[in-house]
Amino acid sequence: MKELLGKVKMQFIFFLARRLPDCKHITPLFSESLDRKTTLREKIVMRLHLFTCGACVNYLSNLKFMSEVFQTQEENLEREKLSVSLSPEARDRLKKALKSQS
Amino acid sequence: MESVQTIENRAAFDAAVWVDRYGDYLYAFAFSRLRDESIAEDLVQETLLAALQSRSRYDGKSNEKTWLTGILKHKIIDHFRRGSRQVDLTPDESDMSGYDYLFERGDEWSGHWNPNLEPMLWNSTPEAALERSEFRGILSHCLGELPERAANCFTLREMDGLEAKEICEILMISINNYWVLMHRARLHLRRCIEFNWFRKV
Repeated sequence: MKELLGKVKMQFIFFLARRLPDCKHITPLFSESLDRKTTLREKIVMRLHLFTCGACVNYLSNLKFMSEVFQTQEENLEREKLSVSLSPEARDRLKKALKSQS
Repeated sequence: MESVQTIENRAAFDAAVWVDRYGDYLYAFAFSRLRDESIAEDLVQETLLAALQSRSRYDGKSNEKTWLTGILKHKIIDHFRRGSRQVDLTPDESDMSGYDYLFERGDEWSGHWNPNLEPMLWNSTPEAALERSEFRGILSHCLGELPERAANCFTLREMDGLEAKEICEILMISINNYWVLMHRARLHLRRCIEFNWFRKV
């Protein structure tokens, strides 16, 4: 019985996957969904695609991870956790330029 | 009454103090958005000069760092505007066929992820990844691989949190071009970060 249910589920997933936009065509929509409100129709298509496709579940979660990375990087910068800094020469150049203008 | 001389001296003093106190921060802020050392340095200089000139208008309500960062943000956006021309996307920016290989496979499921290149589960947190300097290096390397406008579009959105509409106006692009650039940027960055970091550690 369990085996049969598993088979039916797989057939249903294949059935859906063949009728939905493929990964190549749905990935642009995943990107858009992070920048604008999606329509109900788009939401349903995305949900169904994600139901059939673990790779796209990872894809979308990776995109969200990237958004968070850049946000966290901004917070780190705010807390003076800097990964680049002015060279001593650049510092001197800045001070000179400011002095000549003030 | 303060003499003109004293006021001038104080201005020069303030400016030098700014460089020492906020120089590195402002530079790192600009560099993360421009990925170019000399442009970042120029914009920090422009910012501090503008700050010197408008010093009398600084109300002291926000802290100095916030005030200077605000000026720098405007300078960066001005820089993008100066470089924007109303030109359509170049083939380099709009042609996605360079990414077709991600969705090519030998079976009837073409258009779905190639099994060898399927996105992985990233087993980490942004905080943990950013602790590693190699990871930060990979981020900026991957951004640098993108066409200029795609990278700028992406940083304006993800670092500055601007809305699509504002970004279109700054970069002088249509909303459709915005979607193309963002999709391209995300597809590329995701692949680049995964390939250089998550498949290696």
